Formats: sequence, structure tokens, C-alpha cells
Amino acid sequence: MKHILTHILHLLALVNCSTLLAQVDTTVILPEMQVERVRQAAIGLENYIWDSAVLQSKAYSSLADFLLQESNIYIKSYGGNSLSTVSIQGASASQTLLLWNGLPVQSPMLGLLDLSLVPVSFSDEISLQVGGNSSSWGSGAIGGVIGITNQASYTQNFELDYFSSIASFSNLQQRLKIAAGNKKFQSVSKLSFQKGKNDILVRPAPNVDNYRQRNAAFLQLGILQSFYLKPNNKNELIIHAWVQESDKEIPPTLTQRKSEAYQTDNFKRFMGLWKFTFKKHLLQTRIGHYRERQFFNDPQIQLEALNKFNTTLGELNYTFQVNRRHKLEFAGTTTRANAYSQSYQGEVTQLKIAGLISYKYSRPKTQVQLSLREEWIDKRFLLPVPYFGVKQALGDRLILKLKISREFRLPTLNDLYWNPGGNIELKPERGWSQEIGLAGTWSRKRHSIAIRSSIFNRNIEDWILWAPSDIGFFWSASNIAKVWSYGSTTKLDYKYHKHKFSFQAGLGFDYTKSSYRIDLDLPKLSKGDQLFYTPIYQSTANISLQISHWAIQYQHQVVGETIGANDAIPRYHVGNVHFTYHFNQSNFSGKIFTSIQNIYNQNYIVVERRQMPGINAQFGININLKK
Amino acid sequence: MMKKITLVLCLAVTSFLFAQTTSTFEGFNLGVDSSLNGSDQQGGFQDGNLFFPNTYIDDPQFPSWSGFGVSSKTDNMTPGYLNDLSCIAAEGAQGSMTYGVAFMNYLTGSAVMSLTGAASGGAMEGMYINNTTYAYLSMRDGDAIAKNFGGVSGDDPDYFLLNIEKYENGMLGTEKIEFYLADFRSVNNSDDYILDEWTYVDLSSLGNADSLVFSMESSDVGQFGMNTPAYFCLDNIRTKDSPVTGISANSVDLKISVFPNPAVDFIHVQHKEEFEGTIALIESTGKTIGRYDLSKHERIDVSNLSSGLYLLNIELTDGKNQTYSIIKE
Repeated sequence: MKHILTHILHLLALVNCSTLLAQVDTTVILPEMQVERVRQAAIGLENYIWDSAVLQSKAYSSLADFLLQESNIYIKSYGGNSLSTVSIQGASASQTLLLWNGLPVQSPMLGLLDLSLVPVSFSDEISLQVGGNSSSWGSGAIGGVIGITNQASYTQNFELDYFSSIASFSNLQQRLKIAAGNKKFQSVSKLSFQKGKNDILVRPAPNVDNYRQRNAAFLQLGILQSFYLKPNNKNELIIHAWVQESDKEIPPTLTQRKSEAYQTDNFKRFMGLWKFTFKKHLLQTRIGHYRERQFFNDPQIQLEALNKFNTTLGELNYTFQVNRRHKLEFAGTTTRANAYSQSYQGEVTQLKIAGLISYKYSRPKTQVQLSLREEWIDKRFLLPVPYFGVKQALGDRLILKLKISREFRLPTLNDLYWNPGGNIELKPERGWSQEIGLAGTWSRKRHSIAIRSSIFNRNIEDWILWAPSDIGFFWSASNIAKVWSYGSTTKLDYKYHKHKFSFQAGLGFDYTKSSYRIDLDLPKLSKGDQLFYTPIYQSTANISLQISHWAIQYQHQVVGETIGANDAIPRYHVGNVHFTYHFNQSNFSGKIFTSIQNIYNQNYIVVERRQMPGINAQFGININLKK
Repeated sequence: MMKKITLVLCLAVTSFLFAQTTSTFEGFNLGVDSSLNGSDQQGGFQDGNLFFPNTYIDDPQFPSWSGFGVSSKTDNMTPGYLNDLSCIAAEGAQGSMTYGVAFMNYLTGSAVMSLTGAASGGAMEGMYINNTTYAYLSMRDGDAIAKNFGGVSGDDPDYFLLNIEKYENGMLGTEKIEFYLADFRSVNNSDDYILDEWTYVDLSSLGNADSLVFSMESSDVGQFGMNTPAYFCLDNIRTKDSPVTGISANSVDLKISVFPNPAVDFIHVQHKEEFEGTIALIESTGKTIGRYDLSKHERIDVSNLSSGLYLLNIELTDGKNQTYSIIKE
């Protein structure tokens, strides 16, 4: 039976198709991103928002695991609870922007964020916009933008939400949320604690004894405190403080006998937001300050590395709704990053200032948006970054979307200042992207079908690569590559709902060709080679069924072959099952769940020489009390 | 009387034929557990009739080097690149204290050792070779980048190979010596080995040489090059200090001075006699990048050249020639 199901799913994936999104209490798939609270939404082709109801059911996940299961984007994972980064539309990890309440949160040293360090329970809403959006968000938004947002409900006086789970590999999680307040003030406290041995069963080769993974334990403790003040309908003041510590042992690779390495990641992130609304005017101010520290130690090779950085961000955003059809937005942002690394010669500082002007024209069946961004970094102006998007309804059921935009990514501080090899002469990666797509929805009685399909094309020049220096005994960064990316996304969703019964099914298929346009000796690249860790195809299927208090969800993912630094990584497929029983009595509700991951016990890797977990289970309980 | 004269002549000839110098690195007088990695910025090390070029970047946080180093380190336990100047034998060849360490340049994939003085253009006898602690432990245990040899099953046909070639008169020779520092290619796993003892390698088959080129290959190689650390140890390198008859009898001491060495902007070629011939400036890869008339060029502009090792081959119209190793700073 297992083989038949697997075969069918593979067949579906190959012939077309793919992701069936669906879940019980559910993924909300919107035709367009509705994040006006962050910034005037750009017209994008593939946008998702997952609300607190969905996030509550996935409170045990990291952001990496959540996106892996709920979207069709590629997550490059080094194994359970290990470093996880994202690749969208064939872009690199540092070409995807991560926003926390509207401000970028990735490391200025690396240009990326380890998504395994973000607990889903610390978000009240997660959004994903697939495709370039540099004009709105600046550097790093070439592949897409992931947003995590915190919100409060002013309508409730008290909420207590507790989550606890135990899982395979001695993994334990505890989450707690306490919210209290009234219509004008809310305090929301969140705690997250998780630890585990993570001693997955390693199955190196058919004729080699299996063994338990060593040096893989982890501990993560985080606190998020938010205060929301809304004295009247015009003003809202929000303050967030997020403090977290993560300790991870770094397990050996499959071809490494032993590892004693470990890493700690500590950060303190503070943010203040003020929103002022007056008739047709909306003024938003955000100020953020992050203090982050990473320490790597490998006693075996007597290597210690300490990296620290502070980032201070400010943003002023003004939106003017001229009338029903015309809307203007002006925004100015400033970012100051100050970093210390043993590999920099002292501390380095980077100052960025950016301005954005955007205009949106709306009619019942038409939307047109124009944006222009100008960025000033360390006393240099970058090229203007324009954006043009159109959304046109074709009849009652179809929507056509078109987007053309310039994209860019600034070099990271490591690219610029790492010693040896950093290159302060580096130029930003830059290029153009075009997208066009069609989305349609059909509903009849209790049935609804949504289908969407889009294609994209993107050329990036001055792509930054590390290659051997002229001297030849260390590597250095330079703008030597050009990358051409194109592909398509197709999604089909079906939903049936009747009284206490609902059924959802979805298929999705992504094709992404992202290749170098140059030949290089080292790293050894030929024109047309696919980028490392970028699958040409990826497919996901989801089926979910809910009957009264019971729900079951099955998800299957197929990821095509990728190229690693040494070898090709074979195609793999993974199936996950999730059972939930939920109960609800006036102000009290709760869930008991069991989740079985990798149900077919596939022996697979995502990153070469890094084993992924075999079949594993999690059992948990969630209780919620509201007044 | 006649017998005595014959014997003296024979001894003289024999002693001429078998004149040799051994570079042992002991003359650097390193203390115990010490090393030289080129931080003196001299561009290399001269020992006996051999010159071992070195490129060094003086950075307080990450000093880095390539080419050759000299070491008396005895740490054969600590893995990783911070212990890159230790030999797995924890001593030099034949029980000596000091030895050399070679680290391949990423771009050329090689390190070049020059024969100078009486050895220039002559033949090599042989040398002792061993693994560094860094490479040995990386192959035995694997690390975050490189695999353990044999792989997860122990059956991978891995190898770590040292190639030794020569330059003669600016040309890369066709002769080549292959020496396996680790070899797991046998079907029988009990034959697998990673070298941990000093082993003598006979270099006489290379014939006459101006310089030796060392390059390394590993089965563990990816898009970013070789994962196995590209290091090896060398010691007690014997030169014959004379050309092998019939191979390159034209290589002679022309009594031409070439200076300064290392050079920054210019190389001066000074000779007392009237010579006619050509000067060839050759990269360490063997590519000739400039030719000059000997009688006219007493000063060669090298200011535009990249830092590194170059060879200057002077060939007279009568066929006699001599090669000089030049370091461009």
C-alpha cells in the first residue's frame, strides 16, 4: 500500500503537478497579500498569509519546519533543529528577506537568518510573498519576503495558552502565552523552551551498522514581551522585546567520525511602533534595535570564533488615500549595522538610508502600482529601483497579474570585510525580474476550487561568489557571476464543506531553472549549471479531513535532485501525518495531537553528508483559556 | 706511480660525479615545537642548494601562507588547519628534529621548489616524504569539509596523490613521479593505508631540473576544489649538484649576477664578459612571459608582475644556459 501511494504521488508530481495544500484548521490562501499594516502591498503573484489559528496548530514548529510543510518553497536543512535556510524562485538564502513586524531581521554579516531559530509560537501571523520585491523592501528581497508579525486582540481581557509536547529523540517543548488587558491596553507575554538530544538514527550505508547521532543536542529558550497601547482610534503604540538563547551541538557529517563543535546564538531584539491614523492619512513609525552574538567553538581543532553585531533601524511611513482610486505612499528608512568579528580588522559599521515613493491606482477590476526606491549606502547612491505591477480581473473568476521590477542585494559585511578575502570594492548584485500569472476561483454550493499558475524570469548580474584570490591561498569575494532564473508555479486547491465535515485537497508543482551564465575554473562552474541546492522541480500534495472534533492531515513532498558542493543529492520524498482532536467549551478550548514525520522512514539528505531524521513522532497537548 | 695517478684521477672523477648536498632544514636551528611560515617576509627559505618559496600575508587575525614552511612541531594529535605545520610522525625524517612542509597554491594547485647554485640544472637524488597531521587526521577521521577515507562504508576507493614534475630550461618536463600519501583503492580494505612514516622517494628518474613542481590530487574533490588538505611534509632532499651527462650538459655557471632577489620593480642582470644570447622570464606554471636580448637588457622591469616565484633562464648563443629563481614581492 505504501509503495502504491508513493508511486501515485510521484507520478502526480512528475506529470504535472503538485501541492495540495490543505489542512484542517487551515491554511488561508489569499489571492493577494493583505499586509497593508506593514506597507502598501505590492502586487505579487504568489502571496500567502497564515493567521493565528493556523499558527496555533503548528506551535511546535520552527519557522523552517512550518514553511517546509505549509508552503512549496525549498528549505535547505542540515538536519533536525540544525541550520535551516530558504531558497525561493532559485534565489540564494541571502536573497530572501525576513521581516519582523516590518523591519528586516537577518544578520548583516551573513545576509540571512537561521529559520530554525524562529519559533512559530512567537508569531501571530506569518506571510510569504514569492518573487522579487526590492523596491518595497530593499536589499535581499530578490527571491521573496517572509514576514512574521505580532498582533494583539483588544477585545479580550485575558488569554492563557499553554502547549507542551514530547517527541522522538528525547525532544521536549513547552510554550506559554499569557495575554491580559482591555480595549486600550494589552500585554502579551510568550515563552518558548525546547531541548532535545536529537540523537536520530543514522543509517550510513546498507552494509554498515546504524548508530545514534552524536553531539546533536540542543537547547533553546526565548521570551517575547509585547505591550500594545491604543488610547483612541487614531493612535496605537506597540513595544516588543524578544530575548532568546540557543545552544546547539553540531553533529558530525556522515563522513566524519567525531565532532565536538557547538554554537550559541544569543540575541536581544527591541522594537517600538507608533501608528497614527487620521481620516485619509496613515503615519507609521518603527524603531528597532538588535543586539546579537554568535559563538562557535570546536575544541577538536582548537578553533573559537566570536561574531557580534548591533543593528539599529528606523522607518517612517506615510500613506495618503487620495480617494477611492488613488493612493500614495512615502517611506524613509535608515539602518545602521555595527559588527565585530575576529575575522574583521576591528569593528565595522555600515549606514544605509533609503527612500520610497509608491502610487496605487484602483478600480473594481483593475489595480496598477508604481514604486520607486533610492538607496544610499556608505555615502554612495545606488541605481533607482523601480517597480510596476498590474492586476486585472478577466470576468468574474479570473485575475491576470503582471509585475516588472528591478532587484538588488547589497554585499554582506562578510563579503566586504572578512579577512582574508573580503572585498570592499564589491558592487551590489542587481538585475530585473518579470512575472505573469493567472488565478481563478470557482465555487458551487459546498465546493470550491482555486487554481493559479505563474511564470517568472529573472537575470541577476554581479552575482557575488567567493573564488580563489589572485595570490591563490585563500578565497575572496567578487562580482564574477551572472545568474539567469526562470520557472513556473502551479497550484490547485479543492475544498468541500458541510456542517461538521470538511475536506481539502491541494496539488502544487514548482519548476525552477536557475543557472550560471559563466564558466569558472574554481569553483568549477559551467555555463548552464544549476545553482547549488536549488531543485529544478519540487512538488507537494496535501489532503485533510475534518469530522466534528477529529481531524487528519496528510502531506507529501517530493524534491528533485539538487547539486551539492561535491555530489548530486538524489531526489527524495517525505510524507507526514497529523492527527488532531480538538475540544471547545465556552472560554476553554484545547487540542491533543500526534504528528508522525517521515512516515515512510525514508533515508534521505537535503545537504550532502548530513543525515535527516527517519520516522519520528510527536505527541502534544494545547490548552487555551480566554475571557 | 702510474697506478697512484690513475687512482687519484678516479677518486677525483668519482667525487665529482657523486657530489651532493642534502637539505635537512636543521640549519634553521628551530627550537622544539617551533615553525617558520614565512612571516619574516623573505619570500622563502634557502637550505643547501634548494630554495623553497613562500608567500605570506601578514594579518594579525588570520596570517596565511602558501608554498613552503619549516617546522619542528611534534603535535600529531590535534586536527584542523591551526595545526597545519606538524608532521604526523612528530619528527623529521631519519629521527631529525626539523622538516619542511608544503602547502599547494589554490590557483596553480602546486608548489615549486627551485634548484640553485651548484644544483641548478642538475639532477635530484631523492627525498623523504610524509603526511602532515592536518591531512592525516582529516583523511582518517573526516572533518566538517573533507570526508574520512573509505567513506561511510569503508569501501570508497579514495586516494591522496602527490605528483612530482620538473621544469628544465623553462619547460615542463614529461617525466613524472606519482607518490600515494594515502591509498584506499584496493578491493581488499586491509591494504588501505594513510602514510604516517617518512618514506624515501627516488627522484633520479626526473633527470636534470631547474625546479621541481609538486601538485596534489585527491578522490575527495568537489566544485570548490580538493577537500583533503593540500599539504605534505618533506625532508632530507638530496641534490646531485651536477648535471646528468647527456641530459643537459649545457647548463653551466655563466658567472652572471642577477639581483636583487627578492625583487620589487627591476631585476638587474650583470656580467663581466661579453655575452650574446637571450633571457627568458618564466612563470611558476612554466609559461614564458617575456624574452629579452642578453646583450641589451641589463635591467628587466618586473613592477607589473604579481607577487610570487619566477624563473629567469639565460641561454647563450653557443647553447650554454643557466636558470635563476626570482622572487617578485
